[in-house]
Amino acid sequence: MPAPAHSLAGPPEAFYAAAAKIYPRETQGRFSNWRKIAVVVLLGLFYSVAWMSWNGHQALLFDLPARKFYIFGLTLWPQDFLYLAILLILAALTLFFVTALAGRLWCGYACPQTVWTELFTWIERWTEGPRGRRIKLDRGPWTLAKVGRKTLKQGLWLALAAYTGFTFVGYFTPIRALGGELWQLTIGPAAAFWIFLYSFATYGNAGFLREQVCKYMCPYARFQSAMFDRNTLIIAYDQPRGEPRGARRRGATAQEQGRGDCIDCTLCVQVCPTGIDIRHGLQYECIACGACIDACDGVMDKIGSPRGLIHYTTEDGSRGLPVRIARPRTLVYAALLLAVSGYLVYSLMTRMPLIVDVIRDRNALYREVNGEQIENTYTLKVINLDATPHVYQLTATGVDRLYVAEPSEPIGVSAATVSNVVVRLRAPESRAMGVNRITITLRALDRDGIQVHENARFIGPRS
Amino acid sequence: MPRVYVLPPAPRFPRTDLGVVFWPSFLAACFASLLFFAAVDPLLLRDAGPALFQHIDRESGYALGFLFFWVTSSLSSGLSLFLIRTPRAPKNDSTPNGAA
Repeated sequence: MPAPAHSLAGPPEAFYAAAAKIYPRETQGRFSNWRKIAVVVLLGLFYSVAWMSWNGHQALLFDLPARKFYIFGLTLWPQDFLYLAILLILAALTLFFVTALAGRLWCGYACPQTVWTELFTWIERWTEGPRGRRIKLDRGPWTLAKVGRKTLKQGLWLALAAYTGFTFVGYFTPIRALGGELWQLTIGPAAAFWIFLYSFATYGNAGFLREQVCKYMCPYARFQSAMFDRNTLIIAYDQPRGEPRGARRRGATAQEQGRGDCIDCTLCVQVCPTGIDIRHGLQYECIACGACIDACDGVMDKIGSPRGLIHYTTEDGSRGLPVRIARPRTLVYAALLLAVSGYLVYSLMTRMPLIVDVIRDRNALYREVNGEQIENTYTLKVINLDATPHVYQLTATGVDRLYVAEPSEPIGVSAATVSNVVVRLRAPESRAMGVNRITITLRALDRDGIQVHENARFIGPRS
Repeated sequence: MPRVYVLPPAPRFPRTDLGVVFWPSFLAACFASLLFFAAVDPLLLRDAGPALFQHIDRESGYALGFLFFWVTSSLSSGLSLFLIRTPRAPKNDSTPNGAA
């Protein structure tokens, strides 16, 4: 008998429920002010730093076409990948440290997802009105006014997203040149592709996905709890004080009615950008934006109860235990942070702004000159990492009476450039039998302390 | 007693699957591109590679490299999803066949 087509298996696991659209109510208060400041400062920096100059080049430019990174006074080359890696490690450690101390501060105030969503929400509010009117507009028929408002919103969103994509790519290819190419429509397919991709991502993430990015897509949101402990700052509802919740008669106090301070107005739920009820306790969807605190504080002011029914606290703090800032976790993160940033500063201070690659001539092992001299030819790739030009003296040691036949003069290399120099070294045949290890040294004549030794082989006839 | 096969969850083709496949692979591709192109210049690859790529510039090299990583890691994610969803006979099956 063939196997039945259907089985005893239960319903398919639901990993995903179609998300209901969230219409966060606008809030006013301390924490929304902080977020507004964060949005203005961070996005202000993002849109303006791209146009700043520093010593004749773009101040912050990860120039991928030229494979050079300009970070204000610092120029990093592909050879300096270590510094980039350290910078990334530093950024990660800072995030861990801040998370252990203050919870999801990053999520609530600094994450690009939050910041751009906030900006897109401002546009939405400006074109479609506050929460109640937006809900009504979406449910209502497609009137001319609705089409007009929706068109205006989408148009502004698209324009902002496109400009954001352009600015983003402007950090990876010089933005002024990019702007010119865009203006004259001579932009290359690669740059166009990246601009489109980042614009599309901005539009989709900040306009439509919003809290779903935090809930379903963000890896950090899932593993941040690993950095949490009982002393990490979280947003919490003061349950003993609030419960039992319920409406309050005019003029009555909570005690008279035998109720807690929560009047169950649900404003904290309405303002939540991820649509959760903070009164159920800490949830991973909570991005710690503080909107519910602002909403609840406003309500407490109105009903004449003290603020802080929903407040920033820690797990220990909510149990009345003392809060410890210095604890093994934070101390370890702080120590790592100090060590890595100390190493970065030290290695940047002592960075040799000169790299020399010695490449032997592939055509001939050696050449006899003037009957009794052996000559080896090399190409020296001299990379001046400094922001100023330098003149270098070339010397070679390792074989008796070895000397530099070419170049006859010191090597000049302009700032932040690579120079290929043909070098001919000579030594008497009697001293240069077989394969000899030699050292080629390049020393800056115009600055003390810039000096690089490179090992090479000097080959003569077999003995 | 006939053997009962448990079918995998009904094939919902769904946005979920698209997201589960393409989003983590996007992140992986970003990471791979960052590390790979920090060490390797696309122009060196062009010069060493087939004639097909002789005329691309560095930026196109980055874009192609990124797409290559994305496609590869998407294949990996997709294959993982496929393997997870492949039908299996139920465990603890009391029939002789199932015990094998």
